[in-house]
Amino acid sequence: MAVFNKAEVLEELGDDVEFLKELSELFIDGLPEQMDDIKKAISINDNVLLNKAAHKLKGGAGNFGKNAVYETAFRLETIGKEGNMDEAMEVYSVLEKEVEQLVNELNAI
Amino acid sequence: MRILIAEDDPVSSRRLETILEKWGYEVVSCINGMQAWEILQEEKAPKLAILDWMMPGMDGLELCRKIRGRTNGPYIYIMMLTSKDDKDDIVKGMDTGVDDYITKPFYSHELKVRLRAGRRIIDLQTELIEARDAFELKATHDALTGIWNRGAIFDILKLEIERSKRDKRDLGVLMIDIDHFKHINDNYGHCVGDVVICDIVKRLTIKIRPYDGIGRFGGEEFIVVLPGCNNHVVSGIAERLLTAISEMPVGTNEEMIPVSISIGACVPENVGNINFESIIKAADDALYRAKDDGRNCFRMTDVTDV
Repeated sequence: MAVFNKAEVLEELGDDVEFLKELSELFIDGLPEQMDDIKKAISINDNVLLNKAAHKLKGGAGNFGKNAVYETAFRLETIGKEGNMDEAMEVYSVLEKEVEQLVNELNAI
Repeated sequence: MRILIAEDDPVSSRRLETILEKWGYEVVSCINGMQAWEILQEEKAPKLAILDWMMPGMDGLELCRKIRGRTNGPYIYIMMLTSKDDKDDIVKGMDTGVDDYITKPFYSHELKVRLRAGRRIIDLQTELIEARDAFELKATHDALTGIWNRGAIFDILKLEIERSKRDKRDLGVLMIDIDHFKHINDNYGHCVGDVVICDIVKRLTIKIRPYDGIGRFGGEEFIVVLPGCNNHVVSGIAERLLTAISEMPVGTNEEMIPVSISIGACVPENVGNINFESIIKAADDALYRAKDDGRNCFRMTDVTDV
């Protein structure tokens, strides 16, 4: 199952495929740093940092509709906000897979 | 219309830029609150701002507080763009002075209509400011000549009197009257009379300094306020004005009309004792003496009289 709804996103962008490609490239370029920030926050058990880093990823991912990466980043943001970091690493593993899939789907446009 | 985007996420920023430009906005973007604040200080700064809530350094909320704390500058319509959809945050934002908010991920249609609502407010304010400025111009300027009207030149004189007292500085005042103006009106009609007034005012305005004030006192009478001028300087300026008017007739469609003016001057010796009424009266008295002495001349009130 696809992690993002291409037709819906394209419609939102005025059916401009080139524009979607441009946004995808920008998003993909920023991903390694954003994922690193989240991973680092979890590894040092800093929930405030996790909240901020996950929020940022969510913001970028949100430009591609309410996709799986958006939802999972939101979960991590909430974990960071509430401060109970027990599940953070587990959720991060899910996020990694979804990010990989989203990148593949975006690259395939 | 120019619009400011303050957004640190490059994807969101690019998406906003592209769609706003497509809608005809001129976009100015930046990536943090401090940059946005600096852009908003510029002349012709955007009046519409889309601010991200979470930004490094100064966040959107803090920036909004700073903008609303300004006492000068035009109103800036602030739209907060944020993925925070918590009710408390929205209340906090609106309390701080945010005009509207839109939650991320946003839908462009919604953004479009919300921006349109913001533009209505800005357009309304622009219209009000323009109307206010136009009325202010009308309220302070003479409709025929464009120089200060009676009320405005009186205010300027009062202000200069206070300034002279404070700085212990000289102040000269001229009362000017166009010679035989009734005769011009009776012979050529009021329209020609208006042309004569305008031409004379133009010549007078050229001959005074940029920081002097000139206003229309009545029909063919004018007041010139000369800050920082002693007897000697005032005499020189008065002579210059007399020459500027009498050296050349006023050309109208009808014919060339020879013109001259009479000037009553007043330079109080002791600025500490002067008041508005006495200075006007002294200049007026001097003007009557100039008229009695044959016109096209200036007389100065003996400074000890004031």
